[in-house]
Amino acid sequence: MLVASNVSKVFSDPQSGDIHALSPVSLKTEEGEFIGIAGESGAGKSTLLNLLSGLDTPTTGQISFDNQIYTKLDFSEMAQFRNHNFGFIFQTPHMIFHKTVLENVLLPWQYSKGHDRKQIKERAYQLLDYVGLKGFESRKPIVLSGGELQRVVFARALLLEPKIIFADEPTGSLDSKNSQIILDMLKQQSRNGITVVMVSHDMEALGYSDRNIALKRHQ
Amino acid sequence: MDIRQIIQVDLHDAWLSLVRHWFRSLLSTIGIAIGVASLVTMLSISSGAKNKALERAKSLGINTIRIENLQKGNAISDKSLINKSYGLRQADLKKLKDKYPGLLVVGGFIKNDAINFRYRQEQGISSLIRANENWIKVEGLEIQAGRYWNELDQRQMQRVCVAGAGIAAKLGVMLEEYIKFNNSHCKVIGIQQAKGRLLTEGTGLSTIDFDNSIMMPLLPMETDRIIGGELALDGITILSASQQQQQLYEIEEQIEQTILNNHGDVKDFQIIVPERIISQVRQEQRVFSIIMGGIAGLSLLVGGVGIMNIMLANVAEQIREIGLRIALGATAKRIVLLFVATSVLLCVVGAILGLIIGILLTVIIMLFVDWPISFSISSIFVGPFFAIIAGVVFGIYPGITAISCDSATSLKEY
Repeated sequence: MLVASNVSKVFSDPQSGDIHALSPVSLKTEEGEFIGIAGESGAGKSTLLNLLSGLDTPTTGQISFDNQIYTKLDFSEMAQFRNHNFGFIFQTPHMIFHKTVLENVLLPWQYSKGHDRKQIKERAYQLLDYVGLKGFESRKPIVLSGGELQRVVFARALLLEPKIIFADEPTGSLDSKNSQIILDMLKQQSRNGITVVMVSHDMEALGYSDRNIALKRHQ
Repeated sequence: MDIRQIIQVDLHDAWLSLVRHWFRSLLSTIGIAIGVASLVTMLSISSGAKNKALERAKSLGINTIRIENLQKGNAISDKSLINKSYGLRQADLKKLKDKYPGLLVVGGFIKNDAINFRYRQEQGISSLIRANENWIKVEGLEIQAGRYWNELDQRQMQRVCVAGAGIAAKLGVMLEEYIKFNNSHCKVIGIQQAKGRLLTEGTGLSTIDFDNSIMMPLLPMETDRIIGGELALDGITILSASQQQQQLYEIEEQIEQTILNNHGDVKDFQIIVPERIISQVRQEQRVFSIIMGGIAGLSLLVGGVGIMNIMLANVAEQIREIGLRIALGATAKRIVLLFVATSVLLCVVGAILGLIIGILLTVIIMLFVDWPISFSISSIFVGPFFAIIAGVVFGIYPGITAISCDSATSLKEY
């Protein structure tokens, strides 16, 4: 269970003073729940997602997962915590372009502990098959379309069997067909028991979630 | 992942990152390559010089002391005339033999160069060495056939001789036959094993080519200088039972004093202790090693700074990639390790290039310049070893810079 209590984020800028990126928010998710985070631009959707996923630390409040408060973990502990528990899908499909599709899918394994190389490779092949990219393993990302790249990212997010998938505008740069494929897969993972936290301003995408949270811009 | 897999994967990633900008990577290794190349070349030259000097010292005998007459020919200095000293002579030989019985083997010799000789119908030119029987022992000469002259031959002034291996082979010299030279002759009683020549370059001593010499007991000849009824010697060679540096130097001092007393304090001779050459070489090697270490260190420092510069540029360029790795679980150690692996790979490539350039340079010097050069095996390991150290040192700071990037922010910069 993911629990956020009064988390807020203030960025300090010596020139323009404090920037309130996120007003205090409290949130609780259940296992397998699909949560949508909506709100106007500048409301702090992505900031909240970054805080929940441990990519950033809150100015106030704390966040826990399965009763472990992880907002106080140091750099490396947090990295390992993310690796063990979270999967990521970003609006732009971040890749290492000089690696092959398979190597990109295997990237979280490079930083994991206790996974057998052969088995994890087998899983990567299965996941690429699952996202419809069988036979793309040895291709370089540069030759893939935006939709294909996002599906590679999806496969990568599922590699280490995460408990939560954080998706930041996962369909933001995709056409409707590819958007639907990604959203269907997210829904399916949610049904499989993986919690999905998705930031989106697309009403159609938000229609896939079990529950939506609307953020308001800080006044 | 276990440690082996971590190193394997990070080296693979580092290699991919270098290959992506291969020309830039190659350029960045030039500093290291020059450092290693200069190290290999200089160490090879130094090693060659050292080997040559050691070979020379060994040729002269490590536990020998060599005294050479400086009073040759008819030119005699005023001081010599006043003090009635005319160079080394048989009296010096006798004095040294008597003073150090059992401790030193003292050999004396007279050498005549370019003697015309005749064997059967053949004619030739060689050196004629007349020496006492101890000299054979001191020079470590070994017989191939027959025998050397002994004390009895010496005492009885027997006109017997031993032919050097070169002369014997060239003229087919047989035992019991006669070699004639000037108005004299000698009976061949031995053929000597090949010995080569004394490597005296740079010592001030005159050389002896044993293989192209005819050797016989210390007998007077018409052309000899006689000083006070005694034969003037060209040299005295002494074999010490001790190889200890300090003892050799003490003996040298005592011998010098003995001869000086005999010569009325006229220094008309020189003493060479080959062991001193080894000490000098060692001393020079030490200085050379310090200089080499300095040059190599400086080159590697400059090369390493060049590599660090490229690595810092890589950090700026790969900021999103680093952010992605951190987001997916890369710890601080793993990010630093990735940059260290990249830096070490660059340095290893530079070191390999340096080794190739260094070996080529050495070969070119060997082919075109008459320097004593020998490949130093240690340089093949020392250069790359220090290059790897430089790689580790200069990869750490860019790695630390990389982990200071905020993954959320760096991912936004996509």
